[in-house]
Amino acid sequence: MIVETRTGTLVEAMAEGLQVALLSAEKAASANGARIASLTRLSGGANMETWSFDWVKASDIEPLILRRSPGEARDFEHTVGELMLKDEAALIDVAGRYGVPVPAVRLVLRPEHALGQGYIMSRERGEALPFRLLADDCYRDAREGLAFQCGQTLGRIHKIPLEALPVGLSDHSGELLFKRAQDMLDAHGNLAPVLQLGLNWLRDRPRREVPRTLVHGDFRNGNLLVDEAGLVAVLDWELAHLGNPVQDLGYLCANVWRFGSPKPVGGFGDYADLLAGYKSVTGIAPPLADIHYWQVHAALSWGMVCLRMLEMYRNGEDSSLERAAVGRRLSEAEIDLLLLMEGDCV
Amino acid sequence: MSGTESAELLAAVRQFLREEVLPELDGFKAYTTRVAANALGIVAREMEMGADLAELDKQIASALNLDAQAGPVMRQIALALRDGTMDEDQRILEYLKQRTLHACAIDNPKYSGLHQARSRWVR
Repeated sequence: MIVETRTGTLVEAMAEGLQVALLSAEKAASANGARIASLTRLSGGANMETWSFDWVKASDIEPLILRRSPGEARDFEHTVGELMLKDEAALIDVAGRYGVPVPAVRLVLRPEHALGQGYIMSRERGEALPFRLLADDCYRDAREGLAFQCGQTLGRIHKIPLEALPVGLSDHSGELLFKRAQDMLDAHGNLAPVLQLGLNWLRDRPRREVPRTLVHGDFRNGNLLVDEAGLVAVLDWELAHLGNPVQDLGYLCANVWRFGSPKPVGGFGDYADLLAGYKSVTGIAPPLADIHYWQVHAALSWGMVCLRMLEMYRNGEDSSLERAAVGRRLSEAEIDLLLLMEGDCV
Repeated sequence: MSGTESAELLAAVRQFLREEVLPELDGFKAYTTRVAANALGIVAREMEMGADLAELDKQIASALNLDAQAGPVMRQIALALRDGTMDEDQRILEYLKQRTLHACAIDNPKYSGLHQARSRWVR
């Protein structure tokens, strides 16, 4: 492995910062002399990083994950996704208390830690890489039950009482959804007529209004940590908001998140299993026509994410290669929109 | 052109990234290097097939009597669809389908939706 000197220094400084932050939260004397080991960058663009590391104490080794947005203290209020990272941590905490499998939040970063915005959580065992999850033999049994488990888990997420949620979740219910999308298309210079067509379709189609709930907003293959036995944890809560719960079900079934597999639910399962799992927790199963409606929405969302990444690249907010490349995936979303608008669930 | 063609340079850099750089890397850098090689593939395909997109835009602009001075064809259509000043007729839908087929063939020819779309829309 090639490590440049600059990167090496950065990693050392970060390990030092993490050590100070974690030590400040340790009460037991056994934590004296605890240190950071195996600090490695896992993924992310320039303004959202995920790091893996071990917290090595005299008595044991604690596997941890750091999710952070680097930056100076003055950027501390800067929001990356829908939620600020400290609110994301609070939400994960609440979800865990309502039976949603999530990592345990260990420490929320504060400005004096000088590590940017973010939080430290437990590193659960399992795989989140879609291609491995869909292809490796060791996940065969897990794949079998995963659609049902996803249904159950989404049911639990949607059943969390609104008054238990952290404040500041944005509202995407009713007309607000269309207004947000139209503002986004306008802000990007209206260069994507297929996305406009998709938005018109969503706006003009009759839909069943249901009481708004917490919506995870990014519940898909790739954000699900899975081991040989099944679902271990739901990750990446940064797009959480209030809205129509069926949005999460349609999103999980979006073609772009099947990674080329013919199975409609995340590339690993069938609609019937997902809906049975959902019904087992909520007592209701939305009709496939509603799933289809939210699949169209998921395709539009993916298109808008591509536009947003392109904008971040162009305005220098995040000039990483990854952002530039995602900006070019707009045509995938457009293909899906045009296919979905022709008929039923694909 | 008498020297190495642009398409050849792109192919050579792509091969270098994939066969010589990638095996030296792992984790995030390996992933990003794969993204880099794919990006070069997009550029190569656009050089080869990008004229088809321009041709489709020219055809629809002429069919709909769009003003060439009034900005990109895609924007004119998107705004008209937004404002309801243009019906979502078969001609526009057909243009958008064909244009998207071509664009996706450049951007990600392996995309599963593209195969499905081709089987439905290729004349």
